[in-house]
Amino acid sequence: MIRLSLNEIEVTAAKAAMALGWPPAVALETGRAAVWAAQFLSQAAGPVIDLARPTGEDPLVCREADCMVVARANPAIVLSALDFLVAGACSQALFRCCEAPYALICFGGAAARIQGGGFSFLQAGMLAATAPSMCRLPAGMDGRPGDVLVERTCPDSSSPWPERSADGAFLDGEVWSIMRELASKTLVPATRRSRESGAGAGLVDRD
Amino acid sequence: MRPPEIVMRLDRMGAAHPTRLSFMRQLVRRLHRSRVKVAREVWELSPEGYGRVVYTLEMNGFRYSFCAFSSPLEDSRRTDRVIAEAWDATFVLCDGTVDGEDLERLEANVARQEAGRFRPTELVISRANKSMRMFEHVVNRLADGRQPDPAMTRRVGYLMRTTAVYGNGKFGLADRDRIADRLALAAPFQAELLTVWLIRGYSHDLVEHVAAARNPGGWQKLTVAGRRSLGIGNATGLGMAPFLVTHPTLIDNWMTAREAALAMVRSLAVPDDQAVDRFLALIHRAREHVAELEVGDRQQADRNRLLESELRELAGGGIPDALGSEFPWDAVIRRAGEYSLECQELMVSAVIEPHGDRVDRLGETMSSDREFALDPAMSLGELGDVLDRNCRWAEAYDFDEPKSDRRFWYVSEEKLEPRLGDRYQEPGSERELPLDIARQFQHLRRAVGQSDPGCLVAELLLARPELRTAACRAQNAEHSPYAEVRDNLLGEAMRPIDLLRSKLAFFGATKFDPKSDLWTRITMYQGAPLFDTVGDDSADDWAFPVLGAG
Repeated sequence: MIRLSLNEIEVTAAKAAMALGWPPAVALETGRAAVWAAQFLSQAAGPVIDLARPTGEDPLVCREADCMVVARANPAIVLSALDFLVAGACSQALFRCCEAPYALICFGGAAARIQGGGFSFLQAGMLAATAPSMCRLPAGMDGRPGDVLVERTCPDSSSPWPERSADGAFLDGEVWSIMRELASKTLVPATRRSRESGAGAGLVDRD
Repeated sequence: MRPPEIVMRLDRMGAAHPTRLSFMRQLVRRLHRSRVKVAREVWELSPEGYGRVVYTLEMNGFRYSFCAFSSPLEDSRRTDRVIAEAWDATFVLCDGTVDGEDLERLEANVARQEAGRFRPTELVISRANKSMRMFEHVVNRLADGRQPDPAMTRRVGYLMRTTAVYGNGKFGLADRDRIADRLALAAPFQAELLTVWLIRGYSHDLVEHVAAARNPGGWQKLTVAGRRSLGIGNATGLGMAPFLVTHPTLIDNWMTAREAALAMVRSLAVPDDQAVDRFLALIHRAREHVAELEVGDRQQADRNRLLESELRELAGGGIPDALGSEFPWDAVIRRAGEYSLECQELMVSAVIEPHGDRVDRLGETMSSDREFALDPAMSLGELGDVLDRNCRWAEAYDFDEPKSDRRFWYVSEEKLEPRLGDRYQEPGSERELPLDIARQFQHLRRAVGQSDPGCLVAELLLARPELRTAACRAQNAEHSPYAEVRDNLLGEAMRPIDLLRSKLAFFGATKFDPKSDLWTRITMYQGAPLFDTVGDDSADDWAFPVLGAG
């Protein structure tokens, strides 16, 4: 495990998502989900990035009564499902055969932090709940793939507004390496022209 | 308040001057109120000034330690660019005290800057290079028992230049959350600017140390006025510019505070005599300040010359007339509106300055821990209205024309240095930073126009997730009118230097000395109080610093 600042995690995860092709705002939310994971569900940081990896298959989305049903989830669809719940446009979102239930929980926690309120996640009869600064995970839930039913929960005044750790968070070293490697793909290789005329002061400043 | 279509244009932002709400000013007032005492805990320097130093100070019940490490640097390695790998001195500001073991670890890591790793008790790292001409000049003069040549001080204004100041979690440093609720450091960039103030004091002590070692029997200390005239330099490039775009709510808070202060002063029907006296003295000082500026950039030099003549003209007639009318401060601002943007914005700063008792509390509103939440329940009809009210400015650009999107912002592989490229001549635009807000607003408007107005934002974003940024920012603009720079940041005529100056003015920097459209030299804390004078009554009186004051 490696200790990192929350800012490092957020920025690096967001860049990793950008490198994987996600639009900036979706990437930003991926960064926030990674931070939420690092603080409250550290084993979920990897799944957050995994969720952002392109699968080559488009997600499937449909409405069944008051429920949005999603298969082949990705970060954009997860955010949309949460948007629909927040907007009250549906009361439930069902993620069929979700590969990364923990990642859903992290996106939900990060969204709750911004929007207030929280989300509940029901998988195989076990109920997990997120709020701005906490995660209640039942003992039997292990993040294995499966159907996950998500609902919006009421704002809970007993759950305080975000408390970000003052000491950063610990992240699995391998997950961190993967994030960094992906993030590095947002960088542009230097050229002589960019080096000399691209930015900043002279190459030597003796005055 | 002045409307955003006036305030948030690049040319006006590029004429900004610091105000008493600028972050350095806020910090110095807090240092003053806390009667901060800076103590030298460690002073282990060779006669040439190489070694390590620790200062400590206490503010509002929290103790901070500032460590400086200096070593010889070959001239060929001395560059102000981010791509540098060695510096004359490196620094760290720590939360609490440091022991000998900490100091060893810090010395090894701080010297490596971006390549080092830090702990959550370490708040800020920085580095600086000497201004060789000034440092050597001052050492020689002091060693000879003389004070520095005023002409040199006027020309340079500092002994060292910082080339980067990192905080907020970079390289494992403490996140801002650690200090955000501390009264003394709650305003934006206070830990970073405290570090810079300490670097300035260190540079004064260092130059005296070297002079004393050269001539122990005959050297002379810098006078208080001499020390106050020596600020700290900085070379600022493109790294600062994207920040203004990626922190819309924060920028809105900065602008709103300044504009609210201005509006508050303009609304005064009858001037306070003391404020008038102070204002007139300040205009006189501002004229001297502008006259003392020596910048190499011809355009800025012309602007400064014009400003000087405009100030002279205004002081000779326009200002006294305006002060005699009803709502005198409003009249001053209206009168200044007939002159250059430099003059208009300097006058904004000058009319706010004597009204600290009314406006200083606005400084508390300038930070932001709020992250803007998308309203997915908004109908597209409403979103269209929001775009009409707040984002029409973005329609002025035709992005089918190469001149409108020629530039692209990116981060280089080379030490993560931010750069600006030409989309039609350089590779890398597929990895550009998303600073194309005007273009994004256009795309959103088109999508909204083609959709059922009864649909929800959530439904649009399900189909078009790439519009999420624009939708969020458009909604934000409804409540945060100054959140967006109302110009095209990709256009070939865009001058990044305007963005830099706006941000640097909020920091409190002076002596803008552009070296191109891409970077500028500035001076920080020139005229500001010293370690041992920050408790004095005059500690807050350093707007428009002039040589030898103090």
